[in-house]
Amino acid sequence: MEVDKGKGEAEETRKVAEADRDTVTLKSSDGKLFEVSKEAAARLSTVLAGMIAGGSIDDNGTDLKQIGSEALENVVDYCNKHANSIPSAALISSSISFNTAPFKEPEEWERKFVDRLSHDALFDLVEAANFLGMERLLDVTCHKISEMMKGKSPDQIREVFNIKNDYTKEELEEIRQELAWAFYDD
Amino acid sequence: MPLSVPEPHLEGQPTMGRSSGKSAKGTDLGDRISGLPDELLHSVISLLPAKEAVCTSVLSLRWRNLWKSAPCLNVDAEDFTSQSSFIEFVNTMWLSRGGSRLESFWLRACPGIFLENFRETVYLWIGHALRSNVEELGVIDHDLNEFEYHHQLFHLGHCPLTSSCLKKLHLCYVNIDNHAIKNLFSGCPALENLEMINCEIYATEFSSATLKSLSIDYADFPHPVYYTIQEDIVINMPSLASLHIGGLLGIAMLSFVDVQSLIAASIRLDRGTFTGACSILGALSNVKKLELLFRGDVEGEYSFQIDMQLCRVVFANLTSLSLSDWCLYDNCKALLFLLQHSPNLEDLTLKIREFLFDTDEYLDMSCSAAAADSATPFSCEKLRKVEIICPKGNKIVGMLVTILLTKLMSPPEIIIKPFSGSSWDDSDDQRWTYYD
Repeated sequence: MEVDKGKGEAEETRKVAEADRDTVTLKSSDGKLFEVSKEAAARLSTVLAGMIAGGSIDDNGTDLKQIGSEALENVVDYCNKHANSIPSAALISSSISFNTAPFKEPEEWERKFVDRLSHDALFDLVEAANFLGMERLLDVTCHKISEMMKGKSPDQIREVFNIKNDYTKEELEEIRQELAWAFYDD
Repeated sequence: MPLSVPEPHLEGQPTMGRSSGKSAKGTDLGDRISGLPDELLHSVISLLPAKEAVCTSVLSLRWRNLWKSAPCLNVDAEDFTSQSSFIEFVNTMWLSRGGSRLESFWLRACPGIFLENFRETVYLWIGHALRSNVEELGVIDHDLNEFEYHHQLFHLGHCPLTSSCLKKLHLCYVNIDNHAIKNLFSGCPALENLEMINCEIYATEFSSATLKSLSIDYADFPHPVYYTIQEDIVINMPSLASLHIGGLLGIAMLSFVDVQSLIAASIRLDRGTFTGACSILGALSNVKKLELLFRGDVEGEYSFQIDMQLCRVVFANLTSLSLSDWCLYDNCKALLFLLQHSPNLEDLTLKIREFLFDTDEYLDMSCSAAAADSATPFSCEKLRKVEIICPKGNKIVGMLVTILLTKLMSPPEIIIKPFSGSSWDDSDDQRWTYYD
């Protein structure tokens, strides 16, 4: 996603916001402003809900020094999409899981939303979501991360996530012995 | 999911507040995942099959013991080559976890020749999970197949279902009888959500003061020859907010006693009948969202047609309504009745499948019937959108649109989407729109 575009949009939407306080303005660590639906922000983020309720929202842009502009743009994008999304099939019970696992399954659009992110952008978003207390977005992003791990060998997982194997040979052997019951089948 | 301000666990790892600017971009090949707080890694590990979850401990020191505290366990017999290795795995896993907090336990069995004690072992695990105060429990057996004619299902009655914490229970291919369901509701006073998918139900009375969401579904049931519901189903759940009933097999009669808290109800029947349209509609009269999808040959349709005219029901809260072809009989009598009695309706969806009957049974093709009908147009002023999902080239749509435009004083936007396949959920993405 182009940052410039986000900036342009932010400035444009800020003007709208001055007339219409249904939104709040958030400021990234690098000083960019983003407009987000107040309702969605309060519903999706416990931290923003607390700030809105406590009156600590700054009309000129509430500082979120911990979040870079790209991640904040994704957060805002997610909130605004959420504000506009109609629950699928109109009925809560439309997605019954038969044989699938018990997860709070992401909706199709949420899946697409995280699928398009680069590796780093995904983790920036996880950290931002965690910082802002966004439970649903954490579910969606953690789901994506687990999908990236599923069905892979430890070596493949290390490669995908750049995890450095800091075990000594002896330690690794010890773990394998300790967990022999889990590897019994392999 | 537990939330906390993340703390970096490894020196020099990228952390919160790092700019996503260019400097980090090109060079950052770091290990982002290991820098996440424990709670988030527990969540990630919770989403993996148990075997893969345990294996994360070999990744690096950081991952050594994380799996032991993952709050959700998801064990699947299919991941194991033998039943004994599966049992050993789960038993050892329970031991290794010690007293770690457990929120959810899901177990899937798979086809194969099971040892005598397998089911007893599973009941022990369920007991262990409940003693660990799980809030969510899933027991999923595999589908019945012809090679295992004598396949024994799990019996709900054999599970030690007593828990003050259990909120959600998901059962798939489980045998459920009256005694078991009664014990479940009395032994689990916190239970709010019950899903019974493809279960063999030998119970009639479903009475719970606490349940908020109930789902009974047979949409994917493969071999009706092995099981059909023989019992009637009576639902008495004054706290129930969401109800889904799909594809009931056999000749079950459905009736409601107290479901006054219902907000969303979805009833999809291939067969089965109602004890009477008036009592069903009366029980559902508070809902906001209603879906009544019956196949054209559901026996209930005719009684619905006749009874409905006699009902004195007003759906004062109804904003979203989904119906299938049954409502079109006799020049849309049932459809028009529902529209007239839903003053706050905003969205209407009509799902029309390939007709099994002659189109004439539905609508008078002369197009004059609707216009000639002595009843005057009525107002359904909040109705904004009507979506018609039907097979391509369906003859009935034009008629239907005419009737709607004639009968409604302020015609809504009408969207027509093509429909293919036989499932209620199939529909193509293409759409074209008619504006009045």
